Amino acid sequence: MQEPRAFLQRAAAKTRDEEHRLKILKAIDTYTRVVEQRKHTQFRDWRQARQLAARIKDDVLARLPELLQQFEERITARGARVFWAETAAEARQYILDLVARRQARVVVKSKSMTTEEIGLNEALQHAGVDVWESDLGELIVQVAGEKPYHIVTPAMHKNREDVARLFHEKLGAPLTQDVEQLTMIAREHLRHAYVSAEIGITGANFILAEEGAIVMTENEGNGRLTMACPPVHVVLVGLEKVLPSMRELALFLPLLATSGTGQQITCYNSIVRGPRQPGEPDGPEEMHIILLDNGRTELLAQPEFQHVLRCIRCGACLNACPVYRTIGGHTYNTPYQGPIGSVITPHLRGFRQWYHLPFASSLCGACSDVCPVNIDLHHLLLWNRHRAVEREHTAAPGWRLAMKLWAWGMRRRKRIALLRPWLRLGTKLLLPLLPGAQRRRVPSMAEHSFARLWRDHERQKSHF
Amino acid sequence: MSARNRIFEKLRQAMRPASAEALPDVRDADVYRDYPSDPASLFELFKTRLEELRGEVYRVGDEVAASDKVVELADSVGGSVMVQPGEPMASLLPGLAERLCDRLVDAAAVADSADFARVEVGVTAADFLIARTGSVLLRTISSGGRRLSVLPPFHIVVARASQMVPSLEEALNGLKGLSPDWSYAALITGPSRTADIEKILVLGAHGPKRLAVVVVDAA
Ligand code: SF4
Repeated sequence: MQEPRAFLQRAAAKTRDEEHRLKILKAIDTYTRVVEQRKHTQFRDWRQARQLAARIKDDVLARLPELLQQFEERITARGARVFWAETAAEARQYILDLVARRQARVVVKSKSMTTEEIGLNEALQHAGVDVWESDLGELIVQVAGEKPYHIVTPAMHKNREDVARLFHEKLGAPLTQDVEQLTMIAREHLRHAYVSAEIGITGANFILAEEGAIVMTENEGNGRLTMACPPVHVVLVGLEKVLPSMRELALFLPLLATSGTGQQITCYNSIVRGPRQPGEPDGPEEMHIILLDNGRTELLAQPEFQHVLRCIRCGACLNACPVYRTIGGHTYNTPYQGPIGSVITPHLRGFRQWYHLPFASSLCGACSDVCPVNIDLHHLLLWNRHRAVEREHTAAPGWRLAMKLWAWGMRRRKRIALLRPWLRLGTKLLLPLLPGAQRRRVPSMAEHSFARLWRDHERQKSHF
Repeated sequence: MSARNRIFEKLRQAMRPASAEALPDVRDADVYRDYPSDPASLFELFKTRLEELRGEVYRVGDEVAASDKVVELADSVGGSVMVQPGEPMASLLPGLAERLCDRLVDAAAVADSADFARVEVGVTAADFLIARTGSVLLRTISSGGRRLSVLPPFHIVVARASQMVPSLEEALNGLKGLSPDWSYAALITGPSRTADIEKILVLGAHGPKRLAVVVVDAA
């Protein structure tokens, strides 16, 4: 089935799933409460903070070649290898080659949406490698055989009963509804993965040009273990994630933590400048950094869209989105869901299959309101719709013709009057036939136009 | 043309001149809410923040008291203890080795990560304590490597009161001033945690379940 139609079907099913809605609303309500509070307790002026962050990122985007080169030079000088991947396939191949060279059988991963973007897990499994997701949320969806539901909270749609059943059935763990015990099951389950893995793969939240470093932010410690134990550390990161220097972390770490989870700062932030150095007791022998383009330079080349590369993947726009909350993360069927996903996916994966995403929005602007780097998401959604129409990818057949008629009719008062009776009849007969009409109240057109009512009103007045 | 060159080519073509305006020189204090800066309130702030996150903070008068505290903490969980070798631990925790005797694991004897399974307590130094966030900043070369502060279930940090700085900004500036031959630094704020199931907080997801910071007063 075509993706746009499949999307509609999934959306319709999820929208009617009340259990799903309760789980999501519960999680997002908790999130919203702590985040809104944190913005006030942490920042003097949240708006000022995010404007500053936006300016810093814009400055970075205007200097990307220079900053990336600086990063490359400095981290290479300490023995790391930098690989530039133009496409997802190149990035996958690089990792597969590395796996073959190191004869790796076990790979441990910490949460990274960029690896989802390139479909890394499937490629590794296909090559016969044992892949362990180590973030608790990621582990849950991996064990369930699903994809992440949310870029920050991958298992948001699972409650403790779901997880208990999963761990019992798939991991052979004793059945327990205690969240702490469930977490400990995951902890024990993964301990030997860190120890036995030949390669650890992580993403990165920031690239620091001046220090030649990558920065990874997390709460569980699985990322730190992934970078500490295996002899090879691979970092896959989008090339837009640059900051000029460590100094900017003083703003971006609290900003990301506040928007991501409502924390002042996340529990662990790692700054990594290379593999193990002389004089250090441990750390990987090899470090590889894959800088991924995969459509990012094309976004950069379009003035309307380049601001979207400010994104720090905090997930706030997903949580704020009434459409996301209703149709759920899986309906999107993309590594990046919600408003940010609907903005970038058609560009990264092509409009042909993904043009429908920007239409799944009420354009209410809640996403733009919460974005910590001030991305004008809902306008970008509108731009995407524009693109989709321009390229003649639209949902309903005859839509363009109908729109043209509409435009013709609306331009003259007389034409409106002329079309009115037909429109009235048309909406009465046709609207109830639209999908979903049985579950909604179909609006009806007023019996008389305002112009006519006014005329009558004036006439009556003159009778007195 | 290599992928690298092609990407650079695309980047260059996409470049538009940056705004001529210089970035505003915004200090931490302009963005964040006020925080006190005298040493006494800094310690209090640090303690409040870290305890909110269920970390433990102890203040001791001198090095001997620091050793006492570490032994007491280690006793509270039992099991083996690994202390970061060499300085500054030797002078921060005098006589610790004798008091822990056979519970002390020799760092040199723990080569691969599997050996770490028997270490219950990791004791390390740190570079900075950050009052406003209740954080500890450490580097591999100042704290015994990447694993010691994350693999054992209980992490004890021993630091001097003079290592306290008010904000993240100052700690990062300080880090730039330290010797640069490190590959890894960690900014640690509380014991390992997760809220991946129903947003319920659980400590000790993968990293340490307990984090204690012992602050030594004497210079
Ligand atoms: S677009 Fe903004 S709100 Fe959405 S994930 Fe990116 S940074 Fe967060």
